[in-house]
Amino acid sequence: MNPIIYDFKRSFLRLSVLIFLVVFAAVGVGIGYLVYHFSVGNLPASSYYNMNFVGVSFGFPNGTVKVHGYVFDKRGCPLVATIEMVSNSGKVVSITQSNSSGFFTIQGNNASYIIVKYSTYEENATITTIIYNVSDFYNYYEYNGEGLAIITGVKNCVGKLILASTFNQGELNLTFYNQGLKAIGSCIINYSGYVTINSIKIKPGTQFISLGSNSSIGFMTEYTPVPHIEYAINQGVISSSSLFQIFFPIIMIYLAYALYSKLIDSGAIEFIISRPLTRASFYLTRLTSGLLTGVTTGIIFSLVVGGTFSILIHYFPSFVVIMLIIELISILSFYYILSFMLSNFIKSATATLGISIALFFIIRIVEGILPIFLPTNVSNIVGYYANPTSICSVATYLSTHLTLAGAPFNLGISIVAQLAWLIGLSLLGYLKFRRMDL
Amino acid sequence: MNLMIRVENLVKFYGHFQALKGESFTVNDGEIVGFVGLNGAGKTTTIKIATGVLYPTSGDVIIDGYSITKDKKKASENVGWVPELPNYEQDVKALDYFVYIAGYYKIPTNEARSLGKRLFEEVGLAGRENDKLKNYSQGMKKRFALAVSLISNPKNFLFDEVLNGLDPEGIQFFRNLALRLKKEGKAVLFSSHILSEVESLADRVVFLHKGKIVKEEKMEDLRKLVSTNALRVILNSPSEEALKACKDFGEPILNNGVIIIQNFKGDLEGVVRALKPFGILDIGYVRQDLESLFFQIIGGI
Repeated sequence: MNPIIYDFKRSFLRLSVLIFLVVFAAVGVGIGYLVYHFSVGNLPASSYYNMNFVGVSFGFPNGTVKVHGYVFDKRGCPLVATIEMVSNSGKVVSITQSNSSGFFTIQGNNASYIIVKYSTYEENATITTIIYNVSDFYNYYEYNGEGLAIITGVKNCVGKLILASTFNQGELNLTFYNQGLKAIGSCIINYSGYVTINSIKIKPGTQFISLGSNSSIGFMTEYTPVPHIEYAINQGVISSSSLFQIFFPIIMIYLAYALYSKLIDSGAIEFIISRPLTRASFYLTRLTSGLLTGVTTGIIFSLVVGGTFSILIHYFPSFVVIMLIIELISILSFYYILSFMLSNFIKSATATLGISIALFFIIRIVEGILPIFLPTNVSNIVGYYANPTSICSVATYLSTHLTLAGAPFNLGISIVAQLAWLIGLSLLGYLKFRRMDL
Repeated sequence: MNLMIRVENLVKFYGHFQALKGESFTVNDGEIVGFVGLNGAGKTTTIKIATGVLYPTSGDVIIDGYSITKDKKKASENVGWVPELPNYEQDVKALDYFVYIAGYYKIPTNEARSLGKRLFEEVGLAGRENDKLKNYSQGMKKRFALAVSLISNPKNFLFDEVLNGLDPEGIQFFRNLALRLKKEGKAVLFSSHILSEVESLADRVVFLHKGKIVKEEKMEDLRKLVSTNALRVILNSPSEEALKACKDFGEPILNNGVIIIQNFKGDLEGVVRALKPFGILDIGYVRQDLESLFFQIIGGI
């Protein structure tokens, strides 16, 4: 068996790791559930549907109502759905299906609302000029009485702009604003049709968008590069993971103690080192297997938290989960490597364990209080560059701001700083270990 | 004869303390070399350097032509080590740990498992494969170390004070093993702080004292060194007549049924012929105590 796999299995399947993973995951699920009920849970179930529709209605003097509409999923892609036009008394007066492009036209007499059915979803909307039922997966949403604009399915700054307007042609001016409300770009959309679908490229760093025509500038409305619901979930996930982030690094420190420090202290390392392997390969094996345990644990925990929301709202918040994974990997790796490195300088394994845990608390406390005493720019340098878990800070920033444009740090430098800490400490430990008398 | 283990001018400092002062010796194939010295003489340090556990300050150990300092992987593959006090990770099952170690020899899991079962049986650990190593006795730990050492079927073995703390069965096992390995043409370095412990095994003895080799001698020459010019004869029926027959060979005295012939002259065959009618149970030169010789060599007394 490959020694890395064996050591990984032995460290990951360690009772302490499994128990704490299960306990923290259970706590995470509980907190996530609680947060869901206080925030996202208040939204109607249709907020999580993977079905949306928009339409524009026209009434005729003889009581006939005609609706042009579009049915789409959370990414803005067309859906073939059944549309029923229903009278006040609940009688279906007309029925149709959206075509393969998602569009439909339906008309009937004395209709008061429409019902759209797709898969297990069923949603209705009162017939007004603009008819819509849109779930919370949008990136941008603006309704001004005469029209509705939705941007959804944004990936790599490109998304779909779905417009429903009482005018069947016109020009729409979109202006993009950054966090400081400074216009950073604009684009003009010429549309012809009551309901139109356009591909749109969003300027990176956009936090607000205003919609206007040639003659007017509209209100600025918040834009989120990830689905709006994910932004709402984020607070819940931060709460869910807080306990894990505070305490699981201690398990990683313990893991370094069990896998490495104790081995050196007890002399059990001698028997392994006498096998056909070099010190470098042994060092790397133990380092890698512990890191793999940290990475796997972080991923499992994040997936459990994400899975909780997935069950509750039928949507897996991938962006939030990815950010959480990055944060956890950064923290867990650093404290494992820190303890691993110290084991080479401190002969006593228990002393290494104690000092590592003490350092963990000191670093976390300093991280927490420094921003209070330092000017913002200095605090940013410390937090995003000097911080041994700088990538965690970057991920935290990203999960709340959703964009790196306008970030008070350079991502490249933060990554280099994080790698420098991890590689530097590993290397320092190895340099001591390679010539050490065991 | 090939030089299987070659210790070359080893020097080892622990801080300011010099544990080894430039020792050199060889262990040939098909040979058991006793490595004798007082506690702290540097035997274990030498062996740990030979296994690659410790780095020498200078010098090297060449195993089958591979330098332990420059080509450790190859050198380690060709040497087995049974330490005095084997120390393992405690919370693992013996066979699992064996499989893990076999991973360093690039042996796949299934193959390692079946090899492990076979070697456990060979070293007398059959049925204890799934015990945790922390539950093994000292003797079992040594047998486990041996089983692991046999993974690559090496040509060279380092036994460090291996008989210490063993029961008679364990002592017999390792003695027989050393002799078997020798018979198979393997090189065995057998360290001990008791000279008599290696007497019946070693072909050659290297004496180490305070990090320096003070003597290197073939066992047969050592035996001559401890022999005296007195012959000891144990007879089935010692009598005045037998004593009389011995007078032709020296100055015999009868003491507690044992005849000692002082100032022995003549040959052993002649004595045997003369005393045959009295029933010879044992005959040999009276020898000096081996341990006294050891202390003489190292200058301890």
